[in-house]
Amino acid sequence: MRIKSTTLASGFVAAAERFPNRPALAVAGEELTYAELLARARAIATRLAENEPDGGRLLTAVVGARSSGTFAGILGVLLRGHGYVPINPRYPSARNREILERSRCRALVVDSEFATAANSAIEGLMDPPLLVQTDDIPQRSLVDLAEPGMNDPAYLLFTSGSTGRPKGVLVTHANARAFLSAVEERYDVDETDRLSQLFDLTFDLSVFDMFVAWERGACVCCPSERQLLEPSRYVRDSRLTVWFSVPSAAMIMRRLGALKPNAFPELRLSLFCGEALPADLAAAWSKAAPNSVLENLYGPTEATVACTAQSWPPPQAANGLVPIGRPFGQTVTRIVDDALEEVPSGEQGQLFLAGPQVVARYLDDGDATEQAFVTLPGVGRGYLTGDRVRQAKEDAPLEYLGRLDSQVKVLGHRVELGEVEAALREEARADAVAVGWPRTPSGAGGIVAFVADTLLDRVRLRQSLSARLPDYMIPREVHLVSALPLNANGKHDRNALVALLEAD
Amino acid sequence: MEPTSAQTVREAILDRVAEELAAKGLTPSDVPDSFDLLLEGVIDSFGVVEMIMMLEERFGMAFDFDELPADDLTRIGALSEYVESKNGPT
Repeated sequence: MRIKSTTLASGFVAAAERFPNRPALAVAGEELTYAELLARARAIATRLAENEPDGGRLLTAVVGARSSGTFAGILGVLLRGHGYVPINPRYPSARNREILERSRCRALVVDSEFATAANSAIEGLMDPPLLVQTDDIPQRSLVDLAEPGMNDPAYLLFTSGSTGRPKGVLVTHANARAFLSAVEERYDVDETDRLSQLFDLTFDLSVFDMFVAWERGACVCCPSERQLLEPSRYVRDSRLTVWFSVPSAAMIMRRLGALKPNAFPELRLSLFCGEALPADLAAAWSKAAPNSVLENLYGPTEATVACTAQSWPPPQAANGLVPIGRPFGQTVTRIVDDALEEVPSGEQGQLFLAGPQVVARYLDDGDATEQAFVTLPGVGRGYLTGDRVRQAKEDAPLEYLGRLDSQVKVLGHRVELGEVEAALREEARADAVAVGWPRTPSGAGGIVAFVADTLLDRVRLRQSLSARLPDYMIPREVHLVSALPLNANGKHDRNALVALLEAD
Repeated sequence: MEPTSAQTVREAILDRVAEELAAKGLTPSDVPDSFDLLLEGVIDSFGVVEMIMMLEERFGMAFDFDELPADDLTRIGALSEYVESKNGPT
């Protein structure tokens, strides 16, 4: 079998040939070597190839969460030459079915642990995908595997859409390669490293967890939710050297008293991404991990995982947040105004990203593609992030100031409030407004909803929302009001609702 | 401060997650002391912290995470007994 040295699968195969007996994956009390994980992935790729001798379509779904079968499934799909479409078994079936339909996957790979979720996701589909279970596949010699081109998809992820319909972000091998090359140069992970795997597989930060490790012979370590309540013990017991999480996870640890000085002496690298990093939290973390370099990363899914970074301590943190720093790799950044003109240093504007990490388009959504992907004279085609940033002076690090729209982050997940409101209005059959609420008692953000129906059954509303939205999009609190306040323009007055919460 | 018995704490916890339990078709009396709020998906790690904040405020006590095993932090019986032990009826 010959694979170009540039795809996600090839890096893993090369590392497996170099380090066959080193650990590749530690999950649920089990540790697999590179040779073992590769053998399982090859068996899955072979099974896929046998069932689709014509090469099939370019995308294959993987239903699962952290389990050896799920990781072997992702690698198997990639070895088959397909892009993988991760599906979270805990998300509502209706949402997962929509993903399967829109991505037109012909096959679905699933660890038997998650077979129930896979079966309910395909229930009622006109042309259901072939179900391939990752366990009990005999290890057999390979048939010829398809070799993907650089412009073929590596993975397809779905992110919240403001109209109520999730947006599919199609990331090619060329995009992924640009990201991995940039990161490998920056962090120099090697076969002695052990990396945390905390991100949901439907979240593109998990691409870092897996492939930065697997190209260099390092081990991917997955703690359970329970082990995360005792992080210092987990870091010690699993000999982690690299930590990567959303800042919210560190905030929760701080509240649980786990960020004590020198709690994590083993860590050599601590990375945060996915939401704004408060400077005081970064300071507490750097005391807890005194032997670690700490960096704040930034990047939307549309620009492949991460594309700017700031080392701690930063030269300034004017708004209490660690800046998002400077672009790395081949990413180019510009700060533009509404007319797409560059703003002068010191002024705020929208962050525009260009370069090989930026994807070409959204899946089956021409309107959203046209709005977000634009050409900037002298720079080229790129992505308008919707993020408000500033640069104090030329060459100063980028400071993150907030959003230009109503997108909020919940535990790092992007949530378009419009998507939550669309679900609330339909399920409650009443007018509704959702707001992002940063000051929940845990210190991290959540969503609070207001519904204009004082007699509404909140339990039934929660049930019906659970049937269509992932957990993180479900409001933490629902307030029933007789009417929603309007502003002078006749639109819902979010500020008045936030003032109500603040007065509470 | 109201006197704290494990039973009072248990009721406060169940009251806090009443909507989530009901949405899963559970009533408070169904919930055994060994019930794990995190593993049963009633709350996430976020919710664990919010629960602790609520209990500290309501019962005027402070958690000491060095003396409470993480396993007990999310099991309703053990959690209730811990709060009682920190500020029990005298």
